[in-house]
Amino acid sequence: MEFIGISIDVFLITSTLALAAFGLAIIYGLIGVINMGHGAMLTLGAYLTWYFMSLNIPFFLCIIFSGIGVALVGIALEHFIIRKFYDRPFDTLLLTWAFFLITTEVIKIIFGTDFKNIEAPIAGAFEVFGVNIPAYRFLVCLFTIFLITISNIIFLKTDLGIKIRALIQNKEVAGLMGLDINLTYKAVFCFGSFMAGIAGGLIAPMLSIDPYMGNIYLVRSFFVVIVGGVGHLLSGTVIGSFLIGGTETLFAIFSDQVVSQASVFLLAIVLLRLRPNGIMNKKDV
Amino acid sequence: MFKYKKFNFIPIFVLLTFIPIIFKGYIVFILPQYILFGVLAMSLAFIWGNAGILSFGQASFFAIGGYTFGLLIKFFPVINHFFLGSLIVIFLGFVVAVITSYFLFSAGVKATYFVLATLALSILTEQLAVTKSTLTGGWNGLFVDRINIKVGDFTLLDLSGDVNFFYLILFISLITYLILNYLENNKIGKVLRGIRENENRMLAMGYKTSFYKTVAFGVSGSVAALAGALYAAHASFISPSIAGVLFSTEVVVWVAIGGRYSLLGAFAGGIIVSFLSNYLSTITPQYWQLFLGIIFIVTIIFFKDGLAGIFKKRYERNNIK
Amino acid sequence: MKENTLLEVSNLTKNFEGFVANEDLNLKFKKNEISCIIGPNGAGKTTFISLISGHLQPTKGTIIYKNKKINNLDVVTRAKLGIARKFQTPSVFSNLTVLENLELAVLNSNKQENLKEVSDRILNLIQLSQEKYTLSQNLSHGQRQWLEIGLLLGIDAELLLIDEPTSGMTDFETAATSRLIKDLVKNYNKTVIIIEHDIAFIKDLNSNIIVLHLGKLFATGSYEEITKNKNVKDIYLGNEK
Repeated sequence: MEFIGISIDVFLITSTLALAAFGLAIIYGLIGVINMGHGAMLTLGAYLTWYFMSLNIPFFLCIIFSGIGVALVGIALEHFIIRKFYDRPFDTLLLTWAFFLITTEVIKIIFGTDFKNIEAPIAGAFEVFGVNIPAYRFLVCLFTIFLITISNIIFLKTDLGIKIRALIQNKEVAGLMGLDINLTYKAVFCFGSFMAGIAGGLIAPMLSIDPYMGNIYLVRSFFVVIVGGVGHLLSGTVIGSFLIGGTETLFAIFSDQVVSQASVFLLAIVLLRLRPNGIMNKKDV
Repeated sequence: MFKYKKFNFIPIFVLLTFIPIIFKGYIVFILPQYILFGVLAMSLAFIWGNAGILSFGQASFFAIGGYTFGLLIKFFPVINHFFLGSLIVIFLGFVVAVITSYFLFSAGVKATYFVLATLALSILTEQLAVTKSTLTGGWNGLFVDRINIKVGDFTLLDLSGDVNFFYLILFISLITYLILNYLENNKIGKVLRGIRENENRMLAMGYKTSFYKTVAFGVSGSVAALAGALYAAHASFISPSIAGVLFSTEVVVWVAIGGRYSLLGAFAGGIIVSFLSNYLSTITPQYWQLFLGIIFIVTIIFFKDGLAGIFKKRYERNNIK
Repeated sequence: MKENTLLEVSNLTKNFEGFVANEDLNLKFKKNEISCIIGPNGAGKTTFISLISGHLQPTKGTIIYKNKKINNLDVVTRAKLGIARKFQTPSVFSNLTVLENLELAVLNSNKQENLKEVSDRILNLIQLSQEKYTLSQNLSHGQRQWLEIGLLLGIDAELLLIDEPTSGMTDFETAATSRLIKDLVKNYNKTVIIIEHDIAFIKDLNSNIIVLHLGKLFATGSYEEITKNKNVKDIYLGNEK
């Protein structure tokens, strides 16, 4: 029974992490921008959800509005700042980090620094093999699976998916194929931000909301993406989430939260060394 | 122009030397801590400006230095901390930096991934400081006794007063600057800049670039650790927040604004921006941070060379014959 | 192995997930000789150079340099052994001056003590003495290629792998490059392997020519022999057999 309990824990954490990392994976995987503001986008999504909830809007609508809100911020960020720095990864790193600093302060100014809470729209839990699973968390996991499946289909089977994959392979050729590069980059950034906003809103009922809550997922999300490897966007994200989330859960059982987090980072660094291009890719080019 | 470069550290150090003479009281007490932040900034500028290695982990070395020094004083009061303690701290900073970076550089890990690894290092160090609370005092922090510089039983320098400690820290900062400056202008500096400009070319010329990057990061780590040790000794207190991501990123902001390609620019940036931050944070914390964030963006986009770059251009413009 | 063979490759093959870039190459390169590798685009010329310099690992076959098998050595080690490469797109340090560029090269040789002397001598050879303090990004394309060759001289390399040295050069520069290479081989103990397309340049070098086609060794010989070879003309014009 212990094993099932652990497995379910791992499953829940893996899917939550995959959800949080998804927006980041999209942006980094497709357009190579290391969005250090991803954590702030998650946080912003959570706060926007809280705000809309306080207006008595139904939870799932709040989530969508939050996603749109963050997407708008993302578009603004892309258009006014990031757009000119695509070929300079260090600069985009620093600029998105500055975005994090600024957004966090704006959140503090508008919403204050005290902790906020959102009640889960679905209360209660149900039992599976003697293990208690919170219903809401389970729903979020299902949503994540749904999201990844749909993305998989779009990515691999539709026209749009092919164009986006062409973009990853070869920017110039994609341009010759009639793909508007600038618009595509904007769309990807917008979608990644949208997903970050949605993720932030969905995760919000699971934690208490404070201006730095998203950052817990920032470094983890990066390690998920790096460990999973670029180029295998979806399977990489899933496997990366599993490795990172799973390791953390396992270690948390045997020692404290903090040591487990440390172990996860160490694992990520070790994996990074063994497979610099991600776990899905072989070592040399 | 070359002559100017050789001696342009003099104004700022002379200025700082006169502070305790002109002013008394709180500023003489608090300024050395900002000077040490300046040294911390130099440790970042050394690798960022020369090798293009961005690190979000300088705070972790600072904390390693501070906590180690504080713990040495606490648990081994007998040994001579200033000399031996400093050596231990420098060595430890170097070793931790080398182990972390060699592991990554030798595998050819991308520079942008390295940044994330340094970010993780900060988080790890902070958590270590928090969880080993029986040793470190956890979130309550570690109190560090004030000590004097001794040789055997003979007190070489009494550090209970602010003025003496001020000049000691200023002196060590000057030495650190001179050493880093010397390294910058010699083979290792040139090689690092070559690596920054075109690493593939360096490899194709037979340079083991991972070795040089690792050594540079090691130097950076030991400088940051020494600064941390002196900080703990001076402030008599150190807490986990000095190890974490937020402080690490503050260092990046100081150096970006001060000038990443200039040790002195970073030094000044570290002192000035941290001083302003501490001062204005008490008045209007959020708006100051917001303002700083905007300045940071503006610097990255328009003033990559920082304030030092602006001064340099002005100087060059005024001196064209 | 003969005393004066510097480099020998046997059964050298490079396979890229099904695409065979180099197939079963058997070649010998003698000391102090110039060899030109030619062939239509996609023949595998740059792949071959990459296999020698260490930028690519062979799928099969051996590479023997100075009687030592170097298959498993990386780029850095091979450079230290004396194998240096000029890339197809000039790879120098754009934000440094010509002199600073050379300094970096000489710093990694055994001749650092005479930094100034060595740099001046190289500057003379590559005809950039007047451009000592010019930023390399302000050089002409041709001058940048010379600078890159200068870097190879700076590290005191023995085997120079030069990928399309005259692309973008004027006729005047091309002739100067030809003189430079012949001088290096005759008077400075260098061995040179060049990839080129410029027929006049190749003729002027008076070297051994190696023709690659579809990854395989197609023909070797002197300039006269190759230009008289109908098969060689055909592969360039597309009449394959």
